Amino acid sequence: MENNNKIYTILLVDDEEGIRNVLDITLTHAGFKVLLASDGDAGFAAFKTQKPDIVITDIKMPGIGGIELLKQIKQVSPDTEVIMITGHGDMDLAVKSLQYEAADFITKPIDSTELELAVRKAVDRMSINHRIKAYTDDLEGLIREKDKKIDESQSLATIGQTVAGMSHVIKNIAGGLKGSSFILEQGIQNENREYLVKGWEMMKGNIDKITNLSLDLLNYAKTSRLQLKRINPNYPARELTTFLNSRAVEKNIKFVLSPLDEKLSVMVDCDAIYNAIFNLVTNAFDAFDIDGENKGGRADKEVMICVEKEPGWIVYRVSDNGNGMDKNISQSLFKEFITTKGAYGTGFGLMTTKKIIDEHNGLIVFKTKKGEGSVFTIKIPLQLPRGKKG
Amino acid sequence: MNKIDKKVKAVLIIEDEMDMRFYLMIMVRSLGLEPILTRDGVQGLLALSSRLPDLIILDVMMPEKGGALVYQELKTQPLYRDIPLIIFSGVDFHSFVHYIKMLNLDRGIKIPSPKYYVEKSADPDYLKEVIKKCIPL
Repeated sequence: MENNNKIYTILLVDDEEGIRNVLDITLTHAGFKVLLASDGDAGFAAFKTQKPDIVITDIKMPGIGGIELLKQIKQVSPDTEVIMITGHGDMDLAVKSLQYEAADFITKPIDSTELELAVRKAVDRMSINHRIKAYTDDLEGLIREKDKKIDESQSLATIGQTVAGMSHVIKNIAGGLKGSSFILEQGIQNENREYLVKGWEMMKGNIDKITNLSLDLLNYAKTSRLQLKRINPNYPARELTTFLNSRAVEKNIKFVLSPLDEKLSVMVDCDAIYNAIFNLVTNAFDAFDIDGENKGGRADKEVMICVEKEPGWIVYRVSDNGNGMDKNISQSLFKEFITTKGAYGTGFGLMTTKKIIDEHNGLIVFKTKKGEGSVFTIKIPLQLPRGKKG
Repeated sequence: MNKIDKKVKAVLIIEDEMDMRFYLMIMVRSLGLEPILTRDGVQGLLALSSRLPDLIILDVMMPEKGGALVYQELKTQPLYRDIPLIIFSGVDFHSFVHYIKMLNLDRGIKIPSPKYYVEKSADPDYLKEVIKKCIPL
């Protein structure tokens, strides 16, 4: 029980001077520092200023009684051990004091062995509690540290994946540029107009691709801090529809917006949401292409944006009746740089979309069937949890 | 309209991307060879049944039947096994070899790693050299 030879301080509260003197001698002799108080109020005042480790108090005292003192002490310092002194007929009070988390009670007349035993038990419990608390703190610290390391290694792994994906995209562009320059060379050498036209097209395609990649990278980096504003959820969808309408006409796609028919506002980063839907819609436009080319073809091509409300959520749904995806592709979606657009895609768009939705604590899911089309659904919570500020 | 000249050596190109297919076609033509163009594994294997080429250039990442499966099929068929073959891919060599090993385990067969592997980012001159190595002109 001698915890590093610490001298424990005991506050003794009793209205009978005789008992105070006897217990003072006994406890001092046992190696404790003893403070004395003659009633509950003085006891609580002494407790607040001197912060003793243990309190021994009589139950029946004038002014505030022992039970009230016990309650007050436990309220400000739940770890303090309080031992109650009870008279013969005070069994009910003694039991009540245990309910208020007294450490123990001893009955009058006080037997010095019994007293010492109660105090030692209290000291043991305190030192055990103290050690448990120290261990817990250590453990918590350790866990925090490990968590931090795991976070770091996960973000390193993500960076590694991102860099590897980028290297793949860039390598493909480099391959395309080399291929197109070879075709152009052959065209010049052989004075072959078809080669020249084709090589030039391919080179322009790769220049577009590297331009898009740099924009995508910029967007990916930019979305890490949300600028939250309260907006009408139809707003980004409307802007987008206006902006992309001419492209839809060019591609012979029926492009429809079905806005939310209810006055409502939602806290989001408007530009980020715009970008997220933009990526989904341009993907949907490309879902009719074959070989990375818009072949005209079908007359019933349709892309639709629906803005809807579900309990607690704003829902954006982008659907197309295009090519759909096979299982291999859909399984890797969001995770990697997946592009089905050959020389025309970077695979970055969906990753950016996913990131934006994650940052809004939203959900993104999709359904797709090869040959029938795809539906991407974004759900944004109407209430953003606290701590997410712009 | 193309008269098939049996003396001109033929190269079967299996590549889904149109640009790359065009590039390979011109590359092959520039060497005085005749390109046979196909856009996925299924078409490629079909083309093989009508004419045995002197060389196959095979992409890896393709829809429908990918290059690794085509490679496995070619290497397990006595008729096709010895046709010179170049894998031409955006996937790096080690990933492809690893994939082939996994496929081998899957099907309980043993096929070798490809002898000629050219990444798509390689210089056209390098690809040209590899083609020349495969088809002594």
